[in-house]
Amino acid sequence: MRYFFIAALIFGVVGGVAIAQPTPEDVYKCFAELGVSDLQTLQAGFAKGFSDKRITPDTALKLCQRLKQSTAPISLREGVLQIIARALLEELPVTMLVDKAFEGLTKGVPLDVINDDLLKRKTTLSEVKTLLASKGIVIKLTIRFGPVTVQLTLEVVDTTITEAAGALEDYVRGGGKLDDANAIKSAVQLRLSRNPVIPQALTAYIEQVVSAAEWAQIAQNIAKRLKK
Amino acid sequence: MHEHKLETLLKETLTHYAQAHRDRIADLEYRVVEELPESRPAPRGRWGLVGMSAVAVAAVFVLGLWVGLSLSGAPCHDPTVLCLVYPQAKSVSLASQFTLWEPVPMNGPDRSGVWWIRLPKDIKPGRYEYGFIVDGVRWVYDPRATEFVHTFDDKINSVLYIPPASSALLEEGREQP
Amino acid sequence: MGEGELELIQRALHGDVGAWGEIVRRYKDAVFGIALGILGNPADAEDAAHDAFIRAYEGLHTFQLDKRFSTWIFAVTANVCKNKLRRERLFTPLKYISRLTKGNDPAQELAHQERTRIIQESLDQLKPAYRMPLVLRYYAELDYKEIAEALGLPEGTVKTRLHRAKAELKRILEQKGVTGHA
Repeated sequence: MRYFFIAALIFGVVGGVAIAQPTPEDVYKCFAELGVSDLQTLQAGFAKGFSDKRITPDTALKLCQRLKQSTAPISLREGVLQIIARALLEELPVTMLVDKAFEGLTKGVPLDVINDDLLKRKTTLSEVKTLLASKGIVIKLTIRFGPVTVQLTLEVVDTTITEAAGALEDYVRGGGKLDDANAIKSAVQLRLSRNPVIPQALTAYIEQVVSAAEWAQIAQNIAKRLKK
Repeated sequence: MHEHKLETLLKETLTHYAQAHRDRIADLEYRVVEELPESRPAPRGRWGLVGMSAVAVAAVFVLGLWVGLSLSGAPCHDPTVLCLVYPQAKSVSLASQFTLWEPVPMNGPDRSGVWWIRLPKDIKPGRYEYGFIVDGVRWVYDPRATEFVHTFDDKINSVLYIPPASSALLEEGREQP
Repeated sequence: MGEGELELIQRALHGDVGAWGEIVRRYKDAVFGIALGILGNPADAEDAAHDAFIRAYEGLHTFQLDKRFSTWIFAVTANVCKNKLRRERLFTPLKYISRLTKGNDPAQELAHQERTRIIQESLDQLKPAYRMPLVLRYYAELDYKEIAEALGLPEGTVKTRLHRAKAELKRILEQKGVTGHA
């Protein structure tokens, strides 16, 4: 009898914890309550994101709830979610986009500015992903660098794309010289090397296979988008 | 003469004149750097009384700041603690990537006007951008950080790195008060 | 290795003189051009540019990282020039030296050079309070707000001085027979 009660207690606690975690349905409910116009795309994108483990329902719900607090027009609030949903559908990492959305909301940045910023950064993520994919850096593949084999998990590839894109964005926004391709490449390499999720062998491999000119091209594209 | 024409001529003249004498500054960066000491120099006598007074005031302020931070209740010497000196603030919060930018109220102020907060023990290794929100409205970067980035064009975030295999921050060049 | 400007400034703040050297390299043309426009004399402008970069390095901790660095360094330059003019009662503009007569020298090129010389001389005749905002506007391409910040003046005063400077310049040019027609 005693063991029965203990087992029941354990199941109760675990069950309670499970219940406390938001579900995808909670997220979609929040979207609907926000009054979005295109719930279908949002659901499709975020469902894929949850399934791919690029975003958690907890984070998505928090974002939706933050957007609910804003007094900006619904279209602008929905805009943030749509950009992230489309990024998820395109199988892009969204950590940077989600982070920037929260940052902008906290700092009181106007939502049209946030949306514009997210769109630009999404394009950068896409360009970086395309570039790295052209070098064989694709999820589920492996790369060999010297004696080391690197498993390209989703976490590793997404983190690499995010860090490279972040480094390029920071370089351009910080006034970096666009004609100094070596400086641009150095900025990316330094950022990659400082992230513990990215294996050093992968950073070294990227250093070898991605030229300074290729990184510089993306930097120039960013500058054009930012009109620098 | 039309104003537009005058402006064009002005621009051309100034540029032309500067270009004509550009060779004078061909090696300017080397001459400047040669003159600079490796560490920040003390102000020179030629700054005059006003300059020296300003430096003296600044030195007293920095000394006071150091003494204040040393004597203050805020454990600012601890590398796992973020501090901001802002005696006139009514409230200061930390907003950062590791809190999803949710403002977290800081402790303080102590008698030296220092606000402080300890980093979460479970913070994962990595790179984090952060800053402070003063009185709920004003965004302030951490002047003690060693790296900064532009964000949303007109704002600056401070950056900190949490090294792997350690829940405590290594020095990483963070300035001590 | 070159980097973003913000990173260079951070490194310079921590005593990296090489980083400051890169900043000097990027801004020396603009700083020298401003000094030359204000002081009228290449040798003095060279000194002023050199001093401005030393001053700026020494005062770098006062630069607010969320402001534009160009505005700040131009302000330092303007102040160095102002002090030079005040302290040394300096203003002996050299005769305009034409150094761009390489290659062909058609009559049109001569006429253009002559006109540029006259404009430079006319600029030299303006008092510093008028000349400085003019140089910051038409050489450094700062807007009114930035000029106001650089010179420590209200924006309204900057607009007034620019307006008066241009009117005065027009008057001098017309006296010298420069009408703006080719």
